[in-house]
Amino acid sequence: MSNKNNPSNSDSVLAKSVQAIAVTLLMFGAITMIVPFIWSVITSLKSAENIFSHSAFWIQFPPDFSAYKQIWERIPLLLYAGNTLKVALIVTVGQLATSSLAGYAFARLKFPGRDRLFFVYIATMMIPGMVLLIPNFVVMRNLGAINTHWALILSAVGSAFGTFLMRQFFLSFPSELEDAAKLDGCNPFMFYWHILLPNSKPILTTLGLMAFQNIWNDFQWPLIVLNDESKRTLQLGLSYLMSEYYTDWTLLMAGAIITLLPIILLFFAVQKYFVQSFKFTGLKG
Amino acid sequence: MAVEAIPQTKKKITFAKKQRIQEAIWGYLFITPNFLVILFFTFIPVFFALYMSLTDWNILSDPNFIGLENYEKIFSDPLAKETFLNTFYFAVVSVPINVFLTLLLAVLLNQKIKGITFFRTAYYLPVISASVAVSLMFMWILANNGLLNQILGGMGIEPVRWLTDPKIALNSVIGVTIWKGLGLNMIIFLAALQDIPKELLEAAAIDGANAVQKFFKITIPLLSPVIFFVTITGVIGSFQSFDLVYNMTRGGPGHSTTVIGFYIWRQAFDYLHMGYGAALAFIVFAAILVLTILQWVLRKFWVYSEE
Amino acid sequence: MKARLPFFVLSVLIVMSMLLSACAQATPTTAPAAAEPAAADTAAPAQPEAPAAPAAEQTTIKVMSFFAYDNPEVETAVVKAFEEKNPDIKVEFESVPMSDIFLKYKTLIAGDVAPDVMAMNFDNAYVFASMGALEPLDEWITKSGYDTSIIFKSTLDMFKVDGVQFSMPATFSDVVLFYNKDLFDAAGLEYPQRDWTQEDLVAAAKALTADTDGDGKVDQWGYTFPWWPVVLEMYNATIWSEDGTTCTLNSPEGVRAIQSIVDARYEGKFSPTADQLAEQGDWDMFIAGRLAMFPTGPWAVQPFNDKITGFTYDIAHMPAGDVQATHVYANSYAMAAASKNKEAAWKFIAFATGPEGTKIRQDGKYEISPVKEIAEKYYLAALAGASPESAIVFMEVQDYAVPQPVHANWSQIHDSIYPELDLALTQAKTVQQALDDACVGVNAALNQ
Repeated sequence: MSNKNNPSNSDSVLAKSVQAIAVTLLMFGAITMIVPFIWSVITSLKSAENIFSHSAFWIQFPPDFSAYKQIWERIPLLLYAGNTLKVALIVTVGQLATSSLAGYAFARLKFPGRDRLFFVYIATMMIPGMVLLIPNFVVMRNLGAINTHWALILSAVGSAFGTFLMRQFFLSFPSELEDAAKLDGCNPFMFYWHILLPNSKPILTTLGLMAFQNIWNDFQWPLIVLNDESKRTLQLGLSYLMSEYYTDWTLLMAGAIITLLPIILLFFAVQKYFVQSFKFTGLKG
Repeated sequence: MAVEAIPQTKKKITFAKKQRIQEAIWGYLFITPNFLVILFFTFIPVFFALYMSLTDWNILSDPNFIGLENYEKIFSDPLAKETFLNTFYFAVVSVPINVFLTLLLAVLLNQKIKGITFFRTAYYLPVISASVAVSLMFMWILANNGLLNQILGGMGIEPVRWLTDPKIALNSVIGVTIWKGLGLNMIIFLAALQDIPKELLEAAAIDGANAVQKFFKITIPLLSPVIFFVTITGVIGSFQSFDLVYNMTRGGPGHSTTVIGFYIWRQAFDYLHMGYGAALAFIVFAAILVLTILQWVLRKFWVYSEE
Repeated sequence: MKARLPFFVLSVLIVMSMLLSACAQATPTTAPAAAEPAAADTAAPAQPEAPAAPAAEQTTIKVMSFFAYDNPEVETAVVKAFEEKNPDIKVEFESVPMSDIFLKYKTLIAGDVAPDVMAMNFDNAYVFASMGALEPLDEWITKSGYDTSIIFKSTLDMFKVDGVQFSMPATFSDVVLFYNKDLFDAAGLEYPQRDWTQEDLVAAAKALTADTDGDGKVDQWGYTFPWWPVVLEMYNATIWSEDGTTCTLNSPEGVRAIQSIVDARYEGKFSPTADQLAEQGDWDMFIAGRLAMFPTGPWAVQPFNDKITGFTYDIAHMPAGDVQATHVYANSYAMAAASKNKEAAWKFIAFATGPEGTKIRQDGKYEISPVKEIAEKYYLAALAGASPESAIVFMEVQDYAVPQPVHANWSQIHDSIYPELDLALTQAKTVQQALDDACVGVNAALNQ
């Protein structure tokens, strides 16, 4: 039995070795996550004739950037990226706003039909999306949004998935804070804006990243609803580079890396929001 | 203040009721933006799709109403049965592995380990990659003389026909799916772990709880709403799996990797049996619904919520 | 307060990205609205510089195509030339990759916003026509006095369904034998001749298969096979019976055809197996100089001329099997049955599939014009001395080439066959067994 106040030496040795094992396992897993990407980068920097003449992990030196140059020269990369960025940002902010509001309402506010409606929300996630492709298109057409970025935004700015996620998180938010706020005369919106949101940064960041990346990588819906070349999004634009007849591996991988980099950068930028020490402000006693 | 008994009670009742109405109004207000989007882009399309399932629509010409014929066809379609079995297998294998691994990962990463940013990024990389790119990569890695078999060969293991052996292919697709999805639930769990008040854990430590006890008596219960979320969305997601199958195996070899998401696609868009595809979709919906109701009802037993 | 910061940052980013896309835009984004006759009347008065006709009503048609989508200047040049000749018709042209365009067509048709003119490949032209999505063109042909005899007959007939012309061919291509002249020279062999049979082919292929670096693995192959229906044609095998009700794939001819592929891979060993092809596809092998003979088509000419550096290649007729046969493929332009601008749509189709339109496209190196004169006179001229020297073979093949089999349920039929073929070609099943099993699915699809 260990002393309550001072962990014994054997305890800390155990803790350290557990940590060591943990780190090793994590490292191993991380390597399997990264290896395919290293391969992508290496492949994208090869000259076409070298793709199959050496082993896959042979690194070509000096690297051949012609695939990237080709992408840059053949399509208006900045335009497509800008289009996608604009839509992704609007959708991300929109989804965060609507999902957190609705999630909070479903978790904490009482209104008639709440739980039944919420269950219907979850139910909507259960329909395989592809049969909704044409119906969604028809709805968009009736709204006059075809061939506009609104078609991309409107259908994504509300999400049952996001609402579900937010609700689950807000369920474990301590109700003492809410009660205290009510006593102070806060209405639900003030509570939401001043207390709930600031203390939910990790989950907001998580949902935000997911929303952003879904739009960023989306190919099929922009393909269907957009007609003008100038409105194309990144993934859609890149697909025009692929030949009808054969697979150009360097080009393909270069395109994949170009699409990936901005999200990685975004991921790094928001890292600090992932860590949040939860503050019980002034509740003790 | 007037201290008449009856009027005061009346005041209290009216006040409470007013509060409830106010709260309800806030509730409806908050859900409105979200609800509108879902109304237009999910509910309405779902009803449209329901109508589609009652027709023989081939997309290119007008639909004819045929009642429940499509649904009847499903039961006599041997391929549909095989597809459903493949899909159940997919769900039963991938969801528990995913939930277990991601929870484990999140707990491990939540220790103050050096390089946590590196790990988080590494595990999240597959999530943010487009399915097409991931599929192509793995088609190459899992090829019969691809990277994986070369590594195994170096260790003296016979090459495995990862994507060309009908008995193995589905497991390979499951493996890639898990690989691609780990990071997502991991960061959800990480965010949830952040939410656990340190004071609770410290108090427990002072009371003599060790790490394992803290984990099972405090952490897990507080995580349970999120575990519930991850499990439900995992089941739903596995039933809808499409991208990787479409890009990696096209349902093959044979029909071993044909899962229902892919089968619906094929029927609706390749064979132009839109009505049949829609009917299949609703059967899937029913199946997931049953599973979810089960989980929803059972949640009262293990999900902790501050209500 | 803190919650506001991320939102602030995000809004700045939104504004920045909007500026970014605004600056990067070279052309205005607004799609011109379909000009209604009434609107045209109240629109700008007749400008003095309009040639010929006064301010006529402008019709706008929507054209969607996958032709040369990775080289968009080609088809947009066709569109521009058409607009110049027809100032009263405006074309909204959209280019979509071939692998995605048919999904888009289906969605647009389902949503009642089908394009007026749609580019089709052969099998989709058949499916869309037989499902009633396309406008029959025979009347338009006769009304406008279009002389169809200028088109290669086989290509024109390909786009008839039950004798009715549903789309007009815009390009054609066919499968011929590409071969590596240097490898033949090095082995002291005569180049493939017009009258070659399978025996000649096998002999040459065996002689050209070698392990050049002595490591025990073959790294130079003699021959790879074309798409399996071509092989069927060479052996007089069919997939379904004349009346279209029974699967005939597992007939003796069908078995012979597929067996020839299996034998080439596992007995004669001059053709790479599926595993070896997975390591490097035949396309890449030929470019790398590792494959002596490779059946492919005119679409390969441009990429090959760009990428092949170490050797010269040329083309020859496919060696005969039991019969001399190969495939001719073609792409076409079709009119939507639901089009509201059929006259303008026909004018576009006639131009884009006629001598003028197809010449522009052919000069842009996308496939070959189906108009005899344009193909024979200008294709070789446009090559201007580049390989293949015997490019005339592409045209000669039209004498005996047949189109691939089509069926309204082709997708299903194909899906029943190729998994079984995969098993047969990896020797997981005997050819007879695989074809028998394939026929089960095919019969189901034929008799739906």
